[in-house]
Amino acid sequence: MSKSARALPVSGHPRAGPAESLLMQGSFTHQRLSPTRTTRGFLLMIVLVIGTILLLLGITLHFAMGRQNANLHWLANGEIAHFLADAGINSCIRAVRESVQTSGLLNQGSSTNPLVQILTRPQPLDDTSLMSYLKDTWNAELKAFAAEVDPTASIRVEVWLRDFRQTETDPAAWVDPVAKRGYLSIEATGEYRGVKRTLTVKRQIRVASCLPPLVSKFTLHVKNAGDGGEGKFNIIRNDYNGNLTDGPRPFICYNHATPDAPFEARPHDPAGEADAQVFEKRGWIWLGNQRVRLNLTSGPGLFGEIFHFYEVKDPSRFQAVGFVTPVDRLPAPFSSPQTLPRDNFQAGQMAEYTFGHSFIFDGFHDKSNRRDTEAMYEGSILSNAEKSAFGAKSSLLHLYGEARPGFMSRTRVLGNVQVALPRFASLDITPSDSDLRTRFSGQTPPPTYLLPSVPQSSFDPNRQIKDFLGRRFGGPVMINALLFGTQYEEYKKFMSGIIELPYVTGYNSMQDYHVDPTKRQFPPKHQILSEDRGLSLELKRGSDVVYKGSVDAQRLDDVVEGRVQKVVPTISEFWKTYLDRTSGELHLNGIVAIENPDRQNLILPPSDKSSPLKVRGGGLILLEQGNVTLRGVQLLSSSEALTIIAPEANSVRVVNAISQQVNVVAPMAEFVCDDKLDWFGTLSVSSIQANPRNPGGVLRFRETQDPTRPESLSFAKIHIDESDSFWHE
Amino acid sequence: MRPCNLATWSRRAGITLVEILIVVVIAVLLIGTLTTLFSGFRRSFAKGEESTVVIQEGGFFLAHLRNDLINAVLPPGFDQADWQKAIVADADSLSFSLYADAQGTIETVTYMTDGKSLKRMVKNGSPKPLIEGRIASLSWKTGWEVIPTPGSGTRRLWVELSATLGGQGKPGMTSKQLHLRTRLFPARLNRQLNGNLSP
Amino acid sequence: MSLVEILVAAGVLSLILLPVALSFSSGARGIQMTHEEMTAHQAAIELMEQLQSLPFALVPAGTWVNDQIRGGMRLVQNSPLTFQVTPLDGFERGLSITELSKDGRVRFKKIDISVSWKGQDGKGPARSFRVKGLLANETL
Repeated sequence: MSKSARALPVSGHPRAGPAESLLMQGSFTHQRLSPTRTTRGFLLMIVLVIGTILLLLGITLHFAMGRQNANLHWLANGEIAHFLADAGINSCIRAVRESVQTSGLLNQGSSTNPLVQILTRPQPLDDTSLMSYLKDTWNAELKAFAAEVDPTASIRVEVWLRDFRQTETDPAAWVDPVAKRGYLSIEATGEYRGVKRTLTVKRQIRVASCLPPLVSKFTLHVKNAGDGGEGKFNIIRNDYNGNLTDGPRPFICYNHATPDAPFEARPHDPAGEADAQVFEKRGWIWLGNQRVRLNLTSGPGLFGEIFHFYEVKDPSRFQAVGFVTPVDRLPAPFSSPQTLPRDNFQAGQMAEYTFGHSFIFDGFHDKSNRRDTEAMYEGSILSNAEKSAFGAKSSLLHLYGEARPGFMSRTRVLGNVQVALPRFASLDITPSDSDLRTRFSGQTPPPTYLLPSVPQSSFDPNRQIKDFLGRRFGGPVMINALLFGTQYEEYKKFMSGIIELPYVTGYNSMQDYHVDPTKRQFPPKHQILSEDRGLSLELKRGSDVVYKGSVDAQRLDDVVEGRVQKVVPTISEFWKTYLDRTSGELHLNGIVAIENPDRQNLILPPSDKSSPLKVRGGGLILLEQGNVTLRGVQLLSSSEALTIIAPEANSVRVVNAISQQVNVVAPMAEFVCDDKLDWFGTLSVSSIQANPRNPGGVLRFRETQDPTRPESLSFAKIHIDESDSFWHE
Repeated sequence: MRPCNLATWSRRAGITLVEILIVVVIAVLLIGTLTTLFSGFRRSFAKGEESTVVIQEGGFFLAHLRNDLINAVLPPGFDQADWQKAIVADADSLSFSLYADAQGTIETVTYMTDGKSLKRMVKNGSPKPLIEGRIASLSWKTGWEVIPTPGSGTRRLWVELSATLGGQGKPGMTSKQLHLRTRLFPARLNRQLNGNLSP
Repeated sequence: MSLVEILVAAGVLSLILLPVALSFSSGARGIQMTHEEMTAHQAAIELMEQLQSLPFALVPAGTWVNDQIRGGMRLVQNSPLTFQVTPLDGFERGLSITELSKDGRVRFKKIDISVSWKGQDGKGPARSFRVKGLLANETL
C-alpha cells in the first residue's frame, strides 16, 4: 500500500490493493459525505434548540407575571398615596389659609408685606413658592400622622403661586401692569412605598386696581356737559370783584394737591407753576359732547376767576393787564402821528397825536358798587346784541381753581369748551405837545377812549370817538373813519366786545404770567395747549403707554367687569358683608359687584348710620343698577381709595356738606348737589345740574390716583377665592 | 488521523435492521413528545400572555376611571335637585364632568362600549381605546342614597361596575377570565353635593 | 444516529423540561394570584373610598369583622350609615377606624382595611392585602 494510501483513513472494502486503495480513497471521500455520518448529533441539536426556546418562553412568562404583579401593587400603592394626599389637603386647607392671613397677605394696607409686594409688582409673575413666607405648621404634623399609617408613608403640603397672567394689557381698553390673575395652589403629595401621588387644589387670586380706568386722570369728566344749551352753566350773579351777590355758588376745580387737601396736601410751589408742562401732572377736565361756553367770572376775589388775564398780587389786590396791540397789526393811520383838532374845537386849534391800541379782559359781572345790575354793560361799551346773547351772569364751573397762591390750578381742558369774556378795547393817545401831555396825565381817571362794541347795522364811520366820560382836556376830535376807514370789518377787529376763545387759552396766558408778568402779550407768547376734543388721547406712565383712545372711556365697563372679584345680589347683602356693625366702618378690600335687581338707591353711608361713612379698607363697588346718594365718605388712610361705578345710574346726589372722599363714575347720571360740595377724588358723570340754588363747593383732584404716576399702582386689591376653584390629580 | 488498519476494520460489527428500527421508533417517540410539548407550552404561553394583557387592560381601565372620578365635578349651572344625574350611566356609556387639566378646564368624559371593547373620550376628542375586543360582559350603573342626617341629609353617589374580561380567542388558547366587581365613590364630588367641600 | 445519542438527547430534554414546566406552572399560578389580588385591592379600595366620601363627623371609630361588613349593614347601631360593598366569595374584609388627636381635638381618623383570602383551590396559606389611609377633619 502506498504511503499516501496509508495516510488516509480507509473504511469499507478489505484486501484493497493499490488500485483498490486509490478507489478506496475515492470511495472514502464519498463516504465522508454519506448520510450516516452526518446525522450524528442532529437529534441532540433539535432537542437543545427546542428546549432552549421553551425555557425562554417559560422564563418570559414567569417574569411577565412578576411584573404584572408588581404593576398591580404599584397601582394599589398609588391609591393609598392618593388617600394620603387627599387627607393632607383636607386637613391643611384651613391651616394654610390662616397662615396666609397671618402672613399679612390679606392685610392689604401693608405695602411692605412681602406677599403683597410679590402680587402687586407691576410685571408678570412666575410660579413662586410661598413656603418661605408662610409659617409652615402643618408639614411636621402631617409627617407624624403619616408615620402612624406606615413607616414608608409621607405627606407633604406646599403652597405656590401658579399660572399667573396679566389681565389688563390692551392700551385701547386699559393697561395696568399690576392687574393679574392666577392661583394659590395647594399641592399635597402623598407617598407610600415609593409611589407618589400629588393632588392639587387651586384657589383663584385676582389682583386689580380699585381706581377707575382712565377717568382717574380727571378731576371732572362730564360726558354730555353741553346738553341743555352751551350757556347752561352761566347762572351766577356777582359783582366786579367776583363777590357773589345772590343765587347759586360755583364749583371750583382744584386740579392738583392744595395746601388744604385732606390727603397729600402740598404747599404752594411757585417754581412748579412756571413749568410749561405742568398740566401733565394735574387732573384734567373733560366737558364732552356739545359746545360748552363758560362765561369767565370777573375779579379774583373769593370766587373770582379772571386771574388768567389779570395781574394778581394777592386775591384782594389785582389789576387788569393792558395788552398792547403791535403797530404792525394796526391800520395805517396808527403808524404815524396825526394832526387833528383839539376837543376845544371852537378855538380851532390843532395838535399832533400818536395813536395806539390796547385792550383789557374782564369777567362777567352784573353788579358793581355803583350800579345795581349788569354793570359790565354800562357806558354802552358792550352792545345790546351781546347783552341779549350772553347776559351778564358768569359760569358756575371754575375750571382753573382760584386766585390764591397754591390754588391757581390751570390744567388741560378737553372737549368743545369755550370761554367768553369781555374785551374792553381803547385807543392809546399820546399828544406830541408837552402841555397837552401834562393835561392828559392830570386826568383822573386817565383819558380813556373806548371803542364800543357795535353791530354792523349800527356801525357809523362818522361816529366820534370820545373820552368815555366825555371830558375835554385837549384830546383829539376824531371819528371812526379816520382810524379804521369806512368798513365795518376793519373796525370790528379792534372794537370792544365779548370774545370767545378755547378755554385752554387761559392756560397759555397764565404761563406768560408765571414766566414774566411784565411782558405779557395777547395772544399769549407760549402756545402750549390748543383746543382738544379728546378724540385721540394717549396716557403714559414713564415710557409705558397705559391708554390710547378717546376720552369717553368706551371700554371702561369691560375693564371693570373683568376686575370683579365677588358678586352680591343686593345692597343690603353688601352692607351685611362689608360694613362692620360695631365700628360702622367699611371693610371692603376688594372689588365687588352689586346686582341690585330692585334698582335700590345705594346710599353711603346707609340711612340708619351716621355720616360720614368711614372707609377702613377701600375698594371698588360696581353698582349694576340703581342710583347713588352720598352722605359723606371719609377715608381712614391715605393708602386707601373708594370708587363707585354705576353704569345705569341716572342720578348721583350729594345731600350734605360733609367731605366726599370718593371716586364716582356714572356715565349716564346727572350730578345733583343739595349742599355745599367738598369732593376729593374723581367725578365722572353725564351732566351737572345747573341749579339756581346751586350750593357750589370744591372738587379736588387726588394726585396719587393719577394713572401717569407710579403711586397709582399701589391701589391694587388682592382677592383669594373662598372656595376651591378646582382640583386636579 | 489514525492510520488505516484493515485488520481492525475487518473486526467491526454491522448495524442490524432491528437496531435501526429501535432507533427509529425511539427517535420518532422523542420527536413526537418534543413536538407535543412545544405546541402545548406555546399554547400555554399564549394563554398566559393574553391573561396578562387582560389584567393589564382591566387594571388600567379601573385606574383611569378612578382617577377621572377623583377629578369629577358638578358642571357650571348644574341643578342640584337632579344630583343623581351628576354621573350618567346607560347600557353603553358612562359620562360625567371633570377637571380635565391643570388649568381647571371642565370637560365631559365618556366611557363607551360596544360590548367587546371600551373607549374613553374627553369632550369631542378622538376616543382612546382602553380595552380592545376583550370584554366578555360589562355593565355599570350609578347608585345613590341619602343618609338621614340632621338637615337635608347626606348624599352619596357612586358607580357600580361589573365586568368580565378575557375568555376570547381560539379554544384552548383563551385567557383566564378576570372578573371585576366593585363600586367607585368620587369623594370630592360627593363633598360638593353635600356643600362641604373644603373651604 | 445511535442509541446513545438518543438516550443523551432524551436525558437533556428531560433536564430542560423540568425548569420549563416549573416556570410555566408558576406563571399560571401567578396569573391566578394576580386575579385574586386584584379583586382584593378593589374590595379594599372600594371600602376606603366610601368612607372618604363621607363627612368626617359621620364616620365612627371602631373595629369591624367580615360578617359585619356587608352591603346594607349599619356601621354602628342606631347609625344611619350603612356599608355599600360588593359581595365577594372567598374574601374576608376587616376594618379598623381609630381617632388621632392633637391638642384635645380629633384631627384624623386612621382607617385600616384588610382583605384576606385563600387560593382558588382552598389550599395553601391565606394571603392578605392591607390598605391604610387618613380621613381628615376638614372643619378644623
